[in-house]
Amino acid sequence: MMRDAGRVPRWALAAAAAIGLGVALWVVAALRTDRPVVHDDIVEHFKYGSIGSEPGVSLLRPVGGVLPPYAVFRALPSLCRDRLPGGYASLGFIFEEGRDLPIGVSRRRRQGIDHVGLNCAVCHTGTVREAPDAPPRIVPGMPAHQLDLQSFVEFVLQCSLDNRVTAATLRGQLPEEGGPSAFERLLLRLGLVDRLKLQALALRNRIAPLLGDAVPRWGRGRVDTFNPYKAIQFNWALDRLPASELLGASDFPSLWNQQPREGLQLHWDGNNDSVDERNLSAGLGAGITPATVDHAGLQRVRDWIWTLPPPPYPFAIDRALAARGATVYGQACLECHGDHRFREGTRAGSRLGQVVPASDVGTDRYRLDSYTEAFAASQYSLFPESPYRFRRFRKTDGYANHPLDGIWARAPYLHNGSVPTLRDLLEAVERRPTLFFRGYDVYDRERAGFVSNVAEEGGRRYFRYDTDVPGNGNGGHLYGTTLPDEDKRAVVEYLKTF
Amino acid sequence: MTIAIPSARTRRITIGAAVLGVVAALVLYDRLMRERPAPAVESDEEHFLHGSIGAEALEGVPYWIWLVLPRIVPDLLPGPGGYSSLGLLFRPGDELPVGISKVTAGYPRVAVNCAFCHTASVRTAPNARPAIVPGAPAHQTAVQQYRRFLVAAAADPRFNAATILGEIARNYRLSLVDRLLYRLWVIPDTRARLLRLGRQSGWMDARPDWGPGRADVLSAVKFHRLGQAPDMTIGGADSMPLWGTAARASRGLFWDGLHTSLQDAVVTSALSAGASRPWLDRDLARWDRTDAGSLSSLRRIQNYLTVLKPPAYPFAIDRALAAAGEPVYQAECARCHAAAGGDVSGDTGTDARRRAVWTAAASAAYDTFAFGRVWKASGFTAAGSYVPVPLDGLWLRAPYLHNGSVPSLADLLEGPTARPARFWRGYDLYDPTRVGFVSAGSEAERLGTLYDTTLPGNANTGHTYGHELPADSKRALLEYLKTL
Repeated sequence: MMRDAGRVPRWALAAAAAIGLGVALWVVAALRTDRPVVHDDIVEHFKYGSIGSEPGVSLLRPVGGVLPPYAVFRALPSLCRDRLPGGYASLGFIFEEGRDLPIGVSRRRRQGIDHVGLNCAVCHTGTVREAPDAPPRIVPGMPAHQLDLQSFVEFVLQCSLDNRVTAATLRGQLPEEGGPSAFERLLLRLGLVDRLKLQALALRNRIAPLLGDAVPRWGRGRVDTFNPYKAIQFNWALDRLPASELLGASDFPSLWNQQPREGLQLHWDGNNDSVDERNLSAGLGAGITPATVDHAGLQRVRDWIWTLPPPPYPFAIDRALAARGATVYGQACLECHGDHRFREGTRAGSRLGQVVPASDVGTDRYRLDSYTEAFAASQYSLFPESPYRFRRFRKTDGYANHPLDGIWARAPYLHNGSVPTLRDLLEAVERRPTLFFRGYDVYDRERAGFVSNVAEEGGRRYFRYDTDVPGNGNGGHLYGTTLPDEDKRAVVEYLKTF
Repeated sequence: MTIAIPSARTRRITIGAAVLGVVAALVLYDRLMRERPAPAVESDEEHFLHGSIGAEALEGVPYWIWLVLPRIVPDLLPGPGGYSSLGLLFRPGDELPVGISKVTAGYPRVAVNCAFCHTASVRTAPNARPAIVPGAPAHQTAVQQYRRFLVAAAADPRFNAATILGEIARNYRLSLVDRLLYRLWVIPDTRARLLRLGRQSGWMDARPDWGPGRADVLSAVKFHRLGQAPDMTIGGADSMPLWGTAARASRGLFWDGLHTSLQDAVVTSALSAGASRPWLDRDLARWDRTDAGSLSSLRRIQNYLTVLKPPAYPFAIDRALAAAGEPVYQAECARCHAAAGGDVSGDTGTDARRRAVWTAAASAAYDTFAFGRVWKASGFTAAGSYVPVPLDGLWLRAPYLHNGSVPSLADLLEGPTARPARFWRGYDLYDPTRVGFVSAGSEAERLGTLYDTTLPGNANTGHTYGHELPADSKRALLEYLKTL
């Protein structure tokens, strides 16, 4: 009697089993998702497409990525308003009309979570304005001279660890419609936020010696490429390195016209001569790992920048003056830097793309010293057991002679961006500005570079660049500094045609 | 009694289970044991740098674990920089450091080979790229610390399946089967092996640290491989250069002239580095094979040593001065150090520890250990004295004397009391003035390891030749020595 009373009907068992199976299938299906938001248009893909920098591999032990999930990423600026009153835009992120994410941030569902990641465009899309009241022109492939990447990383880490960020406060920030999936809402209840905080802590602990005022600020338009890399990829204890090795901040380069660059010494110190390997290495900085990289997504970008033309100078050029400048340039600059035909793929100049010893070029040497023999050795084990394994990195003893295509849009100048305009670069060191502001995007046609005396505009503060700070030295590269003023003016005009 | 006839159902189950068992056994064999032939290597030099000498079975580490260990327990390394911080060298673009081989037996495993202790890095200026010289004493490689790092990592709580597999997952996707096998077998087994290696290395811990560029090769054979009872000997000594080895074999190889056959020296060295006996059996059986696919590994190394040339001095040499130094050399040094062979009698007063390491008991134990093996050495000559070495490539044999107790040739030509009592070894910047590696200053201290001549086995005494020469003669002699 008792047993009969407690017996569960067969149909109920079957139903429970079916529901259990359904839930299990749902969870497995969610966990196995790896689906980027796809953009058919290549420029859209460059700006918003995924290269695989979103966290992946495992839900509980995610690999790669530096950003929290989509919903959290969007909520952070309002949850930590005091830390970032102007939102991501105030850090130099570019928001286009009708977009919920800025340029350089991709979206991809992995392990059932709607993730965001950084892509190439974040550091390689710049803005230019003709005048303070003109609309900014967005130039894909141009150095993101306006972007304060260091402050961005600091904000994301600090806010992720902030006590105001909890599952409850996040739920309050979720949109009524188009919000996270039921699976994500479930995860949010089950500890997704704790996982996020643990990840943020782990990342912060690794790169702590590069945050705050531990090293001179990178400032807008600059990144220390290799020191975070040492900590994130290889878990080197940065605080055990010589302090001088941690000052690697240097300008973002342009991404256009890569085809004729193949085989040249790439990166500021010329430490690699393979465009593909250099691309993949840069992707690591955006948060990909050998396990999570989207090679196809990256390849699309690679194929596009292979032939992407440099942007033509957007203002009038005095052709006669430029022609005179070409002659002067031919004598003073061409041997190392090639000429205006590089945009068509012509490599002029016998020393183009080669490394000049630091003692000869005389520019600030901290960036060079931040890349070491031991680090190159560690890089050779990246992308193991694959055709992508790194083989081409080499420690060098100087800085590379880069081609100057689109040079007008690559201000400020020298590897550390210590000279605001082309004209300043042609001046003797003692006549170059020692204190200026970076990140303002109104163009100075006279001197060819960005206007560098604006400290703040509309609540947005620009980076105060002091050339006395270690790593910021504006010495060296004295080529052309002794030319007569008229010749300097002509060379600057000619450079606008590049 | 009747024989029970199994029902068809039972038979099916039995057959099913048997098939399953065979499949499982095959998978386990494939993933854990099956040896894949090592990739064919064209040049003997490449083979020397990365070929296997059979140490994988006894002292090998699974490649994926080895790869991620420096990232999991970086604090157990002497500094940031991964294996480079132990002085391991990477030729540009090479996945593995010099002296590390990779062989797949079930799973890929790495182990050390001859080049680990016999390839040097040398820099001619602080910012110059280092030259990597195969066959030269690996003055920069912390052989003992490398081993201790692996053991300490195994003893660390972070050496667990979740952490290790998590770190591997950042780099490579192991299959589900492999992940399972790593979790259940490979990781615990590696941990147990390394801990055992640590327990077997007690003899090492009872002696002064070797420091970079030095090893106690004979004690490794004596205590570790032959299981000899601990004694009071200390055998830490410099790695030797491998060029000209064949030519000087008849005078005795190793600092104390233990072997007179190059093959014996190669085998004994491989044993000290961890080569297993079955591997030696197989390799030596192929000694005379010439078909590309089945060359003997040790034979290739021996062939390479036979043609290896000493590297030329990389700085300018004052030829007139060197010429003036030659008669000084002939008068003061050639009697013992002549390339053709010299006087081997007498005691030069250098630290006596190393020459007392090999004992008659060790020889006897070896005879048992190697009994009946094709690779059994024709004999150990426990001479108990040092052999004066030829001085070819002398500039890159720094630091000097068998125990590396004198940083430069200039120091060696000083009387023992004027030689530095403490200096730093392992920094690869060369000092052409004193002829030796830079052994003091901030970078030498940061990248090198302190050498204390007051420790047992480290004395910088003896070899008091030439120190009373007039200053010009010394200068001339020093210049001449660069030409060797």
